[in-house]
Formats: sequence, structure tokens, C-alpha cells
Amino acid sequence: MAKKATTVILSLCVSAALLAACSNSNGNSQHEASNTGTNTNDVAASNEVDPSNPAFSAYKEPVTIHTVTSEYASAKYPEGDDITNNVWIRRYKEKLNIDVKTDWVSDEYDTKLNLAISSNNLPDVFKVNASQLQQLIEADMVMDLTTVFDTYASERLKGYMEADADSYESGKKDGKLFGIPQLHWGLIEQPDFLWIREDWKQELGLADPQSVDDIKNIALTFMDKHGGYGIAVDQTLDYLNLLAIAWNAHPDMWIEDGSGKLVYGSTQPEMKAALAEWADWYKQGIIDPEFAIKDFSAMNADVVAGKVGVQPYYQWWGYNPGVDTVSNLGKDAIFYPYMIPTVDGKEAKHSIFFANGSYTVIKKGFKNPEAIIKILNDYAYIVDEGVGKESEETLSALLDNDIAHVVGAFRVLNPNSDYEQYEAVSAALQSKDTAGLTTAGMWQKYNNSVAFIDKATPGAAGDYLQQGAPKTAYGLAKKVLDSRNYIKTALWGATPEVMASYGTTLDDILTEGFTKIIMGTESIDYFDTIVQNWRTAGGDTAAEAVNEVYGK
Amino acid sequence: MLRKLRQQSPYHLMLLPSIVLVFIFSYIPFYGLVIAFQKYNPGLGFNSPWVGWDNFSHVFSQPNFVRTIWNTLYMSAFKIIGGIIVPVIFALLLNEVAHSAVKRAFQTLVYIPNFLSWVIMAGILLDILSSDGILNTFLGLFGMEPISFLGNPSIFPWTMIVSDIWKGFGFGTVVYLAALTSIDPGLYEAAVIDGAKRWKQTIYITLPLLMPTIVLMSVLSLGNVLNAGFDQIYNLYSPVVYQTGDIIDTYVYRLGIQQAQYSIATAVGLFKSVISTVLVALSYLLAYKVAGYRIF
Repeated sequence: MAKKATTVILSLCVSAALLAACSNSNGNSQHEASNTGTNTNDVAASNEVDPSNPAFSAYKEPVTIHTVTSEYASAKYPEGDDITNNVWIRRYKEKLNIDVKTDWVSDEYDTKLNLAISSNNLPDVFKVNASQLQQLIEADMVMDLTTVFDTYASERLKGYMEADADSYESGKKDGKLFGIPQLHWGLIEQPDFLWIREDWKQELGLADPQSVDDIKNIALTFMDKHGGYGIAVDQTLDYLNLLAIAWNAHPDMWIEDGSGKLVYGSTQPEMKAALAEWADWYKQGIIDPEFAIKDFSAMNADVVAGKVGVQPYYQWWGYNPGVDTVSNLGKDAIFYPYMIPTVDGKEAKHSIFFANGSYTVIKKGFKNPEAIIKILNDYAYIVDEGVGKESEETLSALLDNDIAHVVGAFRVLNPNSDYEQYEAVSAALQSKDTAGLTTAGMWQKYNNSVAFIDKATPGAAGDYLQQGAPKTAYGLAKKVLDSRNYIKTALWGATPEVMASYGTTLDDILTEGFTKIIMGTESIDYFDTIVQNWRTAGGDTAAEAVNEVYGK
Repeated sequence: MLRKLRQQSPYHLMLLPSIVLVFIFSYIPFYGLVIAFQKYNPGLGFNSPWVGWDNFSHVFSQPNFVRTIWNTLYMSAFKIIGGIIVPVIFALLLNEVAHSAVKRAFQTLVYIPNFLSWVIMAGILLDILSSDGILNTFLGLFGMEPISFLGNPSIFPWTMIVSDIWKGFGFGTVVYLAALTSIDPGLYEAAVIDGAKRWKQTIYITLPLLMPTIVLMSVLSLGNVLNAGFDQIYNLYSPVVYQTGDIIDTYVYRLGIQQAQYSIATAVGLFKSVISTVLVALSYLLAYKVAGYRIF
């Protein structure tokens, strides 16, 4: 298949070359057009219905934008709608007099977009990842948005950028804004927890885990009573690694060592201590004896089948495997999150990673870049301020059934949204007073939490465990954020290119070696060999690059 | 010469579409190989900066790349050898089955796995081979400890080899059965008169007459010696068996394709193509020298 993939890429490149040759003249005219781009603001202004409110004003004459997008599988459209023609697209036309035309829709979005980039056949506005953004800036194909963003972005949108200034910076090069970061739901979604099955814990009268030994004992007690193994993890070690913070190790993350140099968390001595303990756990049968060949779904299948009662996991346990667990084993088999304790019985410092994955960019030479900012303003308005100002039907049509996610390039998320949402939802659940629920998202989480409490609806388990339960993931995460009990990765932005050239092979060396240590095929001293292999394979080069870009 | 050409012109015309297609889809893409020598940026296309052999040295300087070449050769060698021997033997045995309904039933049964994709087959194998799967349960009846067919680095390659042969041998069987029917029955009658029993007939008539087909199949499969089966291994391997199970294709997938490193993926693709071309040419030459057989 790799050969096939290579062949496909090769043939793509060739067709790209042909297209590029055909459209060269076209490309030149675009570059010329961009030289006159500075005047477009004046032209645009005369086209505004309400020039005093440029951020939200509609156009007198219709403006057409071409974009591209990927399908969003879980969205449920009303009859007749699809990703190219839906309530959002109609809203752009009605509210702003903007016609959005989707040139193509693809499941292989990145590949198809790379092809469009190489054939210089770009749409006016589109979503890119960090490395595509760098390539586009390098090739001088995207527009400098600094002025247009300053002029047209709403206060709310600018507020988002202030709330996550680091991500905003990552969209800039030499002080100019090229990619508007689409941001994320907030750092509150990042802390990870130890999830423990509640009915087993109650039945055996176990206390909350206060130290690493407690984790081990809970797992052993579960095994005594219910058989099987103790802790569910998978072959990638991603889930086992969530526990590493108990040893103050931060795998997969670039952190500062004592001397101000940036080093890779997975290769530090703290990690060795964690691995030594895990090897011991494996020997005692606490860690799934078959974890090395289990993938994500096989790991969760055991949880859903009731074979295991402890799982290190992200905040979204309730959505998957939570929903299936509740429908299969009943409401009582729910898992609750607990803070991961350290070896010496404190609360562990959490790992926070760079959260912004995508950017909205505009093709160089596009006449109406402000039109895109207007749409972004409108999206932020609907999500954050819509409740009370827009009818319930309008909001439901725009946001429910995952329709909120079908907008492709046309959105920026509020990086505080989940934090504010959790505060409002938990307060409303306690006081039974829903006045504080001001966004559609808050209402959704609130309603689902109530649905789970009253009727134990399995589908509502996700929202319930995230925000509505007596012990919630966000409740714990808020504590982590408020007490600043975390370490942020030093790599706050795009990955240096030289690192991308190693693909995942550097991490593969570590995963392979760590697996051997845990399974006991190699002793713990093998850790030093692994680190040495990692360094010679390119780890040193990667570290150099990271220090150069992000070091102080 | 010219007259001959005119006489045959309808045939040449019929050939034309496929020549054009092969040219467009197999020869023009050769141009894309230049990105193996560039630091490819889709935005710059073929005007990306030239870097000479950097992509190649980057791949070859990876300490784990050498073991993937070894793993690839090891597994594909056994897959190719087994993929020749097993169907030949099976076809010979099946040919002796007198009852034609039974014969056809078996032929169909062994051919079926060939049509399933490795994604589906991997799911089935994961179930069959797991520690509480049907195979280990069966072995358990004889008091054997469960064997980790997919998690033990020294067993994994053999799991791959055996399952690949099992999945694919139906196709070869059909080919050899077809070749067997084309053997002149008169030869067997003459052998019987000379007093040859089944075994002697097989050795002195059947096998020699099958040889051209066997050589043809071998030559065709040698081009695949650097493809040890990406679909199969990608769906069944895990970090714990990288040491013996990681092949060139899976390694390059993790090194290049996943992160859209087109230059590196192309460099390895070119490397594999060159080696494969040499191997095909070599085996073709050998087949001619040893067995007197040529395809063209």
C-alpha cells in the first residue's frame, strides 16, 4: 500500500505539475492583483450597508467566496441539506450577503489540499494545519491579514486571541498575521485522570487514591474480587503514559531542565522510575498482559465488557467508552475521575500541550478578505451571545446535531468556552437556577446532565461525567488550572521542520523500548540504551531545533 | 517490412489505447521522481529547492532502517518460496481427487480468502490468535501454554508468513490446476505402459511440464521481494514486534507518509523500484539460463 501511496503521490505530483503549467499565467495575474490589494478596503467600505459597524455589516452588492472543506461525519443534516448547502451557508447569504461556494469536499482533506497548493489552484479561504501554513507563507501564497483583522475583527474575536496569545502568535511570521488560529475549547480539556469503576469501589469500600501505592492496591483488590487484570492500557502507551506525571515525568513533551535547556520529557530519569514501577505491575498482572497487541478499540472493549475497573484516560472518558459502558453494564458501572497522585502522595503536576491545530488562511490577492472576518465574527456571536438574542429554533438549527462543526474554515473557537461553560453548568445544577446558562453549549450540557441524573440515558453519560456528575472531569481540571498545577510544553507553536522529517520514528524507538521494559524482556537499565538510540537516531538534532526555535 | 506493418495495422491500432494509458500513467509520472532530490514544498511544486542525495542519506542514516530491510527480505523470501511450493503441492494433490464436485468445492474454498482484504482478515486473525482465541484454546487442550502469535517478536514473522501463504495459495492453486489440465494424457498412458506408478509419473512428467508455469510465477513474484505486505503487517503489528516485524513500507509510512514528507517517501520508493528492477532482470536471466524459459 505504501508503494501504491507513493505511486499515487507521484502521479498526483505530475498532474499537479501539468496543472501548474497551465495555470502559470493565472498565478502571475494573482500576484499583480495583490499589489493593488491595499486599496481594497476603501472599495469594500463603499459596499457596506452599515459602515459604522464594519464587523457585522452586510454587503450591498453580493460578495462571493470560494472555499473547500472536509465532510463532518457525525453531523445530522435536515432533509436536503449537506455540507455545501446548509443553514450556515444560507445565513452567510441572508445576514451578510455573502455567497459561499464550496469547490470540493474531501475525506482526504490534507492530501487534496496539498495537491491544490502544488497546482496553485487555491480557493479564496481554507483551513490549514501548522506545517501547511509554514509552506504557504514560504511560497508567498497567503495574504497578510494583520490590518484586515485589526479593522474588522469584533471585540469578542480579538478577546479570543488575547485569551490565547501564544496561539495567536503562532499564526504570525515576522510580526505579520498570516493564519488566524481556529483555537480550541480551552486548556481545561487537557488534564488527564485516573478513572475508577464506581460500583466496584463502593462494594469493596475503597478510599480515593492518594498515592501511587493506592492505585496499585485498588487494582489488586479489583483483581481479587472480579478476576482479570487491573489497569486497561493500549499498545501505543498513550494511556499508560498519562500516569507518568505521578513520577513527575512528562512524556511526549518538551520541558525545561534545570539549566534552562529544553529536553524531551520521555527521555528524562523520572521516566525511568515510572517504567521500573510499571514493569513490576506487569509482572504482577496488574497491567493488561496483552496490552502490547491491543489497540484503542480493543482496550475500550474490555472496559465496556466489564473486565477491568481502572483506566488512565482523558477528560472525555464519558463519551467513549462511557456511553457504551453504561448501556452495556448499567448506570452503576460508571467510572469516576480522580486526580493522579504522585509517588509521595501529592497531586501530580499535569502536562499541557500546544492546543491549536488549524488556521484559517486567505489566498493572496483575494478581493474581500474582510468578508471572512465578518463570518468569523458572526460565528463567535452565535455561539457565545446567541442565547436570548436569537430564537431557539435558529440556534438549534445552527448548533445542534453537530451542525456547529460543519463550517470548515469559517470559525474560531472561544478558548475559554469550556471553562465558562463548566462554571455555569455546575452552578445551575447546584442551585436549580438556569439564569446563568447563556450559551447554547451550556444548555446542551445542562440538559444532558439532567437527563442522565433523572433517566440514566446512556447517550448523556459524556456530558454528565464531563460537567454534571458529583465527581466530574472538568471539576478536577478547573482545580488544576486555578491552582496552576501544570507544566506547559515549551514547544508552543508549529513543530520545527527538521522534527517532521523524522515522522513518528523517534517516538517509535521509545515506545518499542519502553514496551520491552514493561513486559520484562529487557531490564530497566535498558532505558539508557533506548535514550542513546533515540539521540543518535535524530533526537539530538530534534532537541537542537527545538532549542533554537523555542529556547531562551 | 512496411507491408507487414500495414497488414498488421488493425492490431497495432488496438494496442494503441493501452500504450497511451501506460505512457500517461506509468511513464510521465517518472518526472515526479525529481522530488526525491528536492526539499519538496507543495507551494513551490517542482521548483522546490534541490538537496541532492540528502533525502536518501536521511533515510539510510536512520539506525532502524537496516533492520527493516532485513525483515522485509526475510519475510518476503519465505512468503515467495512458500507461495510457490504450497500451491504446487496442493494442486498436485487436488488433481488426484477423482470426484469432480469435491475437487471444485476445495478449489473454491481455498480461493475464498484471497478475495478478503487484509483489513477484514486482520480482524479475523486477531480473534483467532488471541490468548483466549480458538487456536490457543485448541492448543490448551494438549496442555500447552497460550502462544502470543502477534506479540512475540520471534514468532511474529512466521505468523505473517504462514497467514500470507494461507490467504494467497488458492490463486496459485487455480493457476497450476489449469496448467495440469493442459498436459497431454497420452504421456501418462505411455508412462503406465512403461510401468511408471503415480510417484514416478509426477516426478518425470507432471513436474517437468509444470516447470514453465512455476518459473513464470516465480519471476513475476520476485519483483515483489521488497514488498513484504504492507496491508497485512500494518494491520497486525504493534510496537512490541517492530524489531522483527517492521518492514520498509511500514517504516516509511511512519517516517514519511503520516507527516506528509513527500520527498522522503519518494526517495524510498525510488530506491525500492531500482532494486526491484534489478532483481526482476536478474531472475529473468536466471530463468532463461537455468530453465530455458523466457516470457517474451
